[in-house]
Amino acid sequence: MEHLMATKSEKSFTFIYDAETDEFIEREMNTEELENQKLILDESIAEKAFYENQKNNRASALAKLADLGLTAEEIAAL
Amino acid sequence: MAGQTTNYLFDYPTSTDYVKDGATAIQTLADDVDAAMFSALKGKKAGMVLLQTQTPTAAGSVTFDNVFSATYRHYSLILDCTTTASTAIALQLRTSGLSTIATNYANQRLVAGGTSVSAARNTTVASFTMLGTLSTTATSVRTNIYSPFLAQATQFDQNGIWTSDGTQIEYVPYVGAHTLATSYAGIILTTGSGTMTGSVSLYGWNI
Repeated sequence: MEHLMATKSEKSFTFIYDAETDEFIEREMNTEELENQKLILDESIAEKAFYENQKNNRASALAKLADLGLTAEEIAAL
Repeated sequence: MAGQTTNYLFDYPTSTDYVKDGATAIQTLADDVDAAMFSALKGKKAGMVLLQTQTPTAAGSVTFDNVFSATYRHYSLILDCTTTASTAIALQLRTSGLSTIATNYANQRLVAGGTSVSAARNTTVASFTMLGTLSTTATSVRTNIYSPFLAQATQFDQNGIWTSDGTQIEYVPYVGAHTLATSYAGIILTTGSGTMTGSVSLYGWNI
């Protein structure tokens, strides 16, 4: 909701081209479009969190391999 | 006295020629154009056709409606833009002026950053993500859209460049699909937050 309010205050615009009428339209995003933008933001945040978690797990695993005595070259070759 | 065009030497009459010779002059011009086109394309159609370019400024979303048809089977989208926030830009299919936001999209990606490579799959998401963490610096990406107008699953692929600061480049081969066997007429690109400015071009592929 905070995101939606911020977007509305900034007056987000949408650009539309319709090939059927060959018209270009520029207007403020409507409620449905802003809700969709929020949905995309939520998915983006979840995806980024998954990706960061994956990177952190890998870094942790590599550190444990180093603790076991593997050299940096050996770890890079895995 | 007749003249010729500068580049392709098409013949044309002058204003002092007789009107009665007009049909012959037009036929000569048509023959010149036909010969030039045949020489350039070897009797084939152009493989890729630019359908439309939009140049949005501070846009939250960009839509192409009624652009998919039986004329072309596959399409390519070229995005050149900057954003006001490091955010995702998502692609969704549209029909009858409405976006398909149900979670019928799936994707698989590889992410190569530095010396590490990781992979991930999403099976029920609401969009095909064009760019995961787009930089606020200029970014370009091409996405191919396969058979969107046919009543079958639509597939996507792209070789993306993900970067959060413009220098930490990550290479992201990225594929996906919209799994419903439905015909679609257009697409919408939407930023997760902030706005985008630049150009978006849609091309159709002849097969």
